[in-house]
Amino acid sequence: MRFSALFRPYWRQLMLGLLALITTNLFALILPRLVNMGISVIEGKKVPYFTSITSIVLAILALAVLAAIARTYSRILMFGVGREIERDVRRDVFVHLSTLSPSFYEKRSVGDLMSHMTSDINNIRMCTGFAVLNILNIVIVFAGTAPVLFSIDHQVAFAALLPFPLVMITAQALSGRMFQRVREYQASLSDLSARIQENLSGAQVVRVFHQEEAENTRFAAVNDHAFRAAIRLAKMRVVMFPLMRMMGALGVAVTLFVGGRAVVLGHIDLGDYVEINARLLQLAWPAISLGFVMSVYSRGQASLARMNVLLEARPEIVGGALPAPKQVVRDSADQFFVVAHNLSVQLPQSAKPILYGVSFTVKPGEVLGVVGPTGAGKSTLTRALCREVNVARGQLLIDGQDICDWQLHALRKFVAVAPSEAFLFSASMRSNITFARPDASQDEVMEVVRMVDLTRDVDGFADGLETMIGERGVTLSGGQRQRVALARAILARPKMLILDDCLSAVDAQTQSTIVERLKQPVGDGTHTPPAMIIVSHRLSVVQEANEIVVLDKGQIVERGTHLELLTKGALYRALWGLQLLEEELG
Amino acid sequence: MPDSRIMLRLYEGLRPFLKPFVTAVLLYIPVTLLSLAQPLVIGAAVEHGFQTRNLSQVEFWAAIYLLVVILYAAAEMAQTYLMQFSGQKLVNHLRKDLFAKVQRLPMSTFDHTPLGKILTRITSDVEAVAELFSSGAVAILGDLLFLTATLLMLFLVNAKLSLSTMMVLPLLAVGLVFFRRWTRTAYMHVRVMLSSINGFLQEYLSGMPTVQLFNQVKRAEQEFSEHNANYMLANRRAIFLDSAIYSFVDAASFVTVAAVLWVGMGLRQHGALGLGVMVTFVEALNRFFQPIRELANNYAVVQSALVSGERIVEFLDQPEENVQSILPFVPVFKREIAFENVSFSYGHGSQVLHEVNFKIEHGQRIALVGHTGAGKTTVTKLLTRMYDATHGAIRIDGVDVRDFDLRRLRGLFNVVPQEVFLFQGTLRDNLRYGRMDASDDDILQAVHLCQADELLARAGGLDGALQVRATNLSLGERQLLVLARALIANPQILILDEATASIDTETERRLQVATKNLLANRTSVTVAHRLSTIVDSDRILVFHKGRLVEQGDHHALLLQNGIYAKLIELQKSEFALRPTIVPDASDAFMAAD
Ligand SMILES: Nc1ncnc2c1ncn2[C@@H]1O[C@H](COP(=O)(O)OP(=O)(O)O)[C@@H](O)[C@H]1O
Ligand SMILES: Nc1ncnc2c1ncn2[C@@H]1O[C@H](COP(=O)(O)OP(=O)(O)O)[C@@H](O)[C@H]1O
Ligand SMILES: [Mg+2]
Repeated sequence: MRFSALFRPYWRQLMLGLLALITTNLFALILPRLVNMGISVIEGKKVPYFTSITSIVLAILALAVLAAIARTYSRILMFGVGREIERDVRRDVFVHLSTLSPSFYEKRSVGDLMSHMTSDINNIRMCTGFAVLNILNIVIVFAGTAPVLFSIDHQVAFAALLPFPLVMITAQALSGRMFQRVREYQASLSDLSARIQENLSGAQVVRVFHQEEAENTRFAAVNDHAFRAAIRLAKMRVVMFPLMRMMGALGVAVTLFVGGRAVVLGHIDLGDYVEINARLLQLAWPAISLGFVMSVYSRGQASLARMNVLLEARPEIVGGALPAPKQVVRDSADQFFVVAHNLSVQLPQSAKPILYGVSFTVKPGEVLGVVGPTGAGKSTLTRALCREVNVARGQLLIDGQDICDWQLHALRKFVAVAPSEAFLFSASMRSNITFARPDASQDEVMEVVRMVDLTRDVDGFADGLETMIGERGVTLSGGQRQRVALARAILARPKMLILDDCLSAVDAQTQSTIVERLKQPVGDGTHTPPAMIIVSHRLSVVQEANEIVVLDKGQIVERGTHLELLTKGALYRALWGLQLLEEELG
Repeated sequence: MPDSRIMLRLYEGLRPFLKPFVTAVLLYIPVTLLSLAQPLVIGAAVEHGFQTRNLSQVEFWAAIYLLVVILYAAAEMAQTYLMQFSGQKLVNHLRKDLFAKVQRLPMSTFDHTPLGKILTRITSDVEAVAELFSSGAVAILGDLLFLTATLLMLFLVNAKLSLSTMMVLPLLAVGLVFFRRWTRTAYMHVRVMLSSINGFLQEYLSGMPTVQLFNQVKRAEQEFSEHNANYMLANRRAIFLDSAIYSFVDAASFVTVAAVLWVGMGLRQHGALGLGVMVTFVEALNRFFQPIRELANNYAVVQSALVSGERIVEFLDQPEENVQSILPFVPVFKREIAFENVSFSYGHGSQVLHEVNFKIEHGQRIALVGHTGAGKTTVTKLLTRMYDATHGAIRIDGVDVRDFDLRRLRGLFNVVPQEVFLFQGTLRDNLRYGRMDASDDDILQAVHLCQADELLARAGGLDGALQVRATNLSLGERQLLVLARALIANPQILILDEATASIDTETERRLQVATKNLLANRTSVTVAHRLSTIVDSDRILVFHKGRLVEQGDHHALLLQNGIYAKLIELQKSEFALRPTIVPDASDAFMAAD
């Protein structure tokens, strides 16, 4: 992202704004003249164009109104462009972020991203609206003044203007460090924001552990760090602003010295000197504002650089070019195979592969059960299936086509996941359930609500399906949350449905009932139910699966149907025995 | 909210750093004087040097001028620094206050307030206030001083003519008051829009993988565009008003000059006015309007700072968790905790608990059983006073929990909540979160008890880092860590809310054996679906639709042959080879209706 590119769509507006600005400045030049004339008339002198004080007063009033209009217009245009660019940047960054893979969000705190989206965007906007308006203003004033100075006396004009390039050079010299400090400051704001975000997300834990004071202390550390960064940055400005102002005044001093000499030596007369001085003072204000502009500019540049770092992040997972194969998409043709062939998954941050040599096949209407100890790689397997993580070796084929060749959105239409810790949005229960298909009919919604056994819960809510759910579903019980997530996945009408231990907070019986319902033909009974992969710690839930694989430490150690595994699978049999025994004990 | 109240609150924040601030304001005096001195020095140079053609005099005054300029720069530097310093101190202070406030908010706040909105208060709104200082808008204070002085001077020079000047003032005042109404709403609107855009962003960025998985990126983008466009439109309105004000003030200055000319002409015709006075007036008017123009120029900054200030003050004024107590000591729990006729509803929602009565005796292991949504978690939240009962009371050894100091009350408990949350950072810091002085040995021991040694080693030991929300661990692994964290905190009463739901049976089994001794003499409240984990509890409380329907130990409940007995029966049947007709769990509860 570059500033010039940001401006491009708005050059027309900017030109208009410039025109309005020039007009305003012209009016500003004429008005004092009129006042002078007014005074002359009162003095009794004759002035051109005007005969009476009344006409001058009227002219002043008319011009004042015109100037006001032109000025309003120029500011609206210039600042408006800043706001439009701000909107563009925010949109572009959001669109970019929405292409990034889950691994990005596992590393970047949302608080940090939020800081980019607020503070940094603000800096960029200031740099486009405010800075441009001021820079143009400075250029116009300089362009108008410098020739006049030179027309009076070359030498004196040269001396008088000499400090100004010096101003630019100093500013240039300082800007590198300024940029650095702005970056530090923005980074400290990011840390601050990330800390707050963490604290807010963990509010309950903080209270449970009564760590409020400790949290305050932890926050004080980042807060004070931000303060120090702000002061370091402020120091730059403390030097820069008065320096700029002094440079302007230095021009006057040099003029006093050189011009005074010229007057004394008779090169110019006193009137010339006074005029040069007056003109220099006109330049002084823009020179001062230049300091401010420089600071705004550095901020904008530094924030843009930070933003570009975000924008350079590439999605780790990219889709292929193929739309979903015809057979798969066609509703009637339900025969396809999901085949995993010697699958390995390795994440960059872990030394060993998390999953390796995994193979299996599932068909529509069939169920693959996945069981195994905590951390065996079950969730990783489901994540590989919907391409939330990349497959390192081996292949995942759906109907003979590698899923890596699919367009991502085609794949995601094909498969839906209900995880055990699902992300719900702070919206109504209904919009959460219909998240994947906002156009679903009331009947369809009620049907899935029934399927996941939520009917009685919904009836219990004062607002029924329109009940608002808090952020991340905080106002639901654990089991309700999981079932809403499951309903959301079912309503997406996937061809492959993955349940990743998604009913762990629901009692075993209800879970079995729900799973049984999922296996029934959908709709009017003509469609085959989806291919299902069910991950569960409850063996009872998967006991009727067409195949059960037992994962341990990333590998399939046993496989077969429930009965087969009971006879030949040592680990499975042990687990089953354990669960059985526990219940018998009860 | 009146501006004065906001100002007062901001001023309070500034009070500890009043010295630098006041010094900065006082420095306006030398800064102004030194800037006024500059034309005087030039005047002197012209008079003594130019006109007498005396080169050394010219050089002398040029040197003086240089000195004045340097002094001026020095004074200005000091002034700018002090201003920035006090501004940043204020910001630092406000953030600290806001953050501390968040820690005192009741849990219910988070049920309905998007986190992004709270974040906006502590970051963006505070920064808007800081703009007052960094944009130099505080210089208005100096300007106002200057304004009054000029007015006074004009009045002394010519009362009549100055009245004509002052005639514009009411006009200006009315205009600004008029504008203020609009700008206030405009800026309020801007902040509200910003807040909602941030609320949206923070939520969607947190849930982006979900959005992608359900193919809703396009829709999210559209929704975001709407927020984004609304924010821009709100800003445009503010810009319009802002520009209009600036131009209005600018125009007003010329209207005043015109008025002075007009009135001056009349006065002069009656011979009541000297020309010099006239010129002085016109000159002075320029100076008079300069600060007003500055004011208009900074109007936006000031208004938006005030609006943000208002939102900050509002936030700080929110009701807090009721921490005050009549009993400031650590609550003693020697005998029992009693729920007496406790009813509860979240906010305005339907009632979640209905007249619940039960007792937890010291050292007992209590289990809560029931359908999901029955209110078990709610019971644990009431125990730790995350929420207060709507009716009835909870007493510890006879004392209402509301009478205890909140933090100390919570010190009795530790909860392993259903929702696992770990902070970004090292495993060590996470594990000892409840007891920061725990030694590594303590930590490792707890980790060992929780069957998590292997996991710890894999995650890089105690110094291993956790990613955002610990996504680099599987959910079951996270639950083991959270369990260890609770054990390290070593509370009197341990509350386990489906703490092992995502852990496999074998690990859970080992966990139970390992922690048996640890939990033996401790009061504990366990919520579980796997009945096997709770059968040997001292007392089992069965909840159904917010009512406590059965209680007693395992055998007593079996004998009662009610819901619990049915649940046990059902759970067993799960393990027989599945019959063709699936038993419906809700049957058990249906029977209770
Ligand atoms: N993003 C990640 N980075 C590093 N390690 C991970 C990541 N996600 C999971 N792991 C590790 O991979 C292993 C398998 O995790 P997972 O598939 O979630 O297990 P489970 O079988 O319990 O679902 C665990 O040991 C976990 O620590
Ligand atoms: N913060 C909340 N705001 C509003 N309603 C809530 C909130 N938390 C839980 N509920 C509702 O209260 C009921 C009981 O929830 P909970 O106590 O979590 O059940 P469980 O027995 O599964 O632990 C549920 O219907 C749930 O939707
Ligand atoms: Mg619960």
